[in-house]
Parts: sequence; C-alpha cells; structure tokens
Amino acid sequence: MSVSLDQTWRRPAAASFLCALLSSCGTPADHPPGVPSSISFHVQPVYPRSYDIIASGRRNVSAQALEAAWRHKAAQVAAGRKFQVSGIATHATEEIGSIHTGYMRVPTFTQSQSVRGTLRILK
Amino acid sequence: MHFPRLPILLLTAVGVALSGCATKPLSSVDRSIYRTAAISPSVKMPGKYHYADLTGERARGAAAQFGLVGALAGAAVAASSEGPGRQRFDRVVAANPTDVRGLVHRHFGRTLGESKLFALTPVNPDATFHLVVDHYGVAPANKRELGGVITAEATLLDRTGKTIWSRRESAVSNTTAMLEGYEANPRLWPQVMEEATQQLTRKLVLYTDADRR
Repeated sequence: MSVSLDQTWRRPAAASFLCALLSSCGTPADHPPGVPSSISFHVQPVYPRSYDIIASGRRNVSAQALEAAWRHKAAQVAAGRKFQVSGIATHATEEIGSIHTGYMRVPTFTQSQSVRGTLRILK
Repeated sequence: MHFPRLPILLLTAVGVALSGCATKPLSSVDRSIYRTAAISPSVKMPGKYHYADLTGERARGAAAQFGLVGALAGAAVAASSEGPGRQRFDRVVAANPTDVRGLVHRHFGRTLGESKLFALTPVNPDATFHLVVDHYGVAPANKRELGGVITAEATLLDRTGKTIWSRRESAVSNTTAMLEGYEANPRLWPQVMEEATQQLTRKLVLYTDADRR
C-alpha cells in the first residue's frame, strides 16, 4: 500500500519541487506591449526605491530598438509613478559555446547586446 | 492514508524556495540587533590586475569546450595572444596608477552611509564589514573594447567573529575603450575602475530581492 501511494505522489511532489525551485529564482514579469519577444529583460530591485534594468537581444536587434524596449520596460516597472533614468549604457558581448556536428564539436560564438540603466522612483 | 516520503519532498521544496538562488540582501540583516557597523580598513587584494582581450577570451572559451587538454591549449594560446597587449597595458597603468583598494573602501563606505542601513562608527561597532577583492582589471566588455571589471566579496561579522551576512558580486564599467584608447588617454584606466567599483558597491550594499525577469 505504502509503495503504490509513494508512486502516486512522486510526480506531483516532484512537480511542486520544480515549481518551488523555479519560482525562487525569479518572479516572471509581463513583457511590455509592443516589444519583440526576442528582447528579454532582467529587473533587479535596488534599495531603497530604484531598479537596475537590463534589456538584451541578439546582435541583429538595433541599439535604438533595444533602448526603446528598455524605456518601455522602465515605464512598465514604474507603473505610473514618476521616475528618473540614469547610467544608460549599451554593450555588445559574446558567448562561447559549441555544437556537435556528428563527427566533432565545433565552437560557436553567439553575439548579443544589452542596454542597462537605472530607474529611480521619485517620491 | 500514509505518504511516507511526501513530507520530506515538500520540506525540501520549501527549503529550496526559501533559501532562493541569490544570496541574501544586506537589508535582510536584523538591524534591531546590529545598529552600528564599521568597515575594516584592510581590504584584501590580488597581487596584480587582470588583463584579458577578446582573442584570449575566445581561445580560452573555445578550447574549454574540449576538456582539460583543450583548456590547457587554450590557456597557452590566450597567453601568447595577450602577452603583447598586457605589456602595453602595463605601461598605461604605470603612467596613471590607481589605488583600487582605496576606491573599494571609499565607495563601500559612501554607499553604506547613503543607504542609512547602519550607523557607521569606528568605535565599538555591533558588526564589522570585511572586504576581499578577488580580481580586478580590464576584460572585453563591448565588442573588442575593454571595460573595467572587478569581483569582490563583502562579509559582515559580529563582535564574536561570527558571519552574519556575506555577498559576492562582479561589476563592469559603463565606459569601454580599445587598448589604443587607453594608451592615448591614460586617465581612462582610473575612470573605468572608478565606475566598476561604484557599480560593485551598489550591488553589494543595495541589491535587495531575488531578480525579476
């Protein structure tokens, strides 16, 4: 009896474990409307009432589009409150990985760029 | 009904959820117990700055995909490609030496003071911050351009020497330039380290919750 119940509850328990693990790493926030889904965001709250926001995309996304997406996200995070923006910088970086072609592994260089900046909510 | 392993699994899940993926923010320290703090004047530093360029990073990164032998070969290629650049950068640093230890101490104190999380006092504090810089220098931060980089750990110890809080962070300067740019304007080196250190201390002191995406 105990063994069969174990098996019954194993999957839900594993699912709850996975959910808890994922939810602990970050709360999903809405994607700003009108912003391509290829642009992703990272929002970090900064004490006492600021946020560091990073908008990232592939190199084929223009820097202007990325900065416009950053501003959309900033407005979304501010949620109608007055805010001030500072320290906006655009950086293009490279991630090194590899793909397996069947015979051998070949290194890959994925280029991406990001716009980062700080949003300060005004009193 | 009897579920012998379910509580263990759920407890583990809750434990993982509560512990989170990121280290705890400084604002989570119980400030009803620890009201005053000091910053230890001795900041541990590596012997020399770190220099890496894009060719070296690529060689190291690509070769690391092929196991230990690849990593060793990549390190050798990176060292040979970065050697001349490092020598040129040595001259830049020599022309405008920067007290990174002082920068870290000063910016950490300033950021902590502005946060008002603790009252800073050098005499009989409830807790003391200790700072250890793991590495600092320049690395590719924007295409082929080099930016100031720094990684450090801050630890808060109580009067008995017990660790209350600890956090490790890395930061990159907003300003980046080619090696030729650093040579033409040696003041860029102090500037990028100032920016990176400022960013680092913000992350150590002011970052609060786990991130949101």
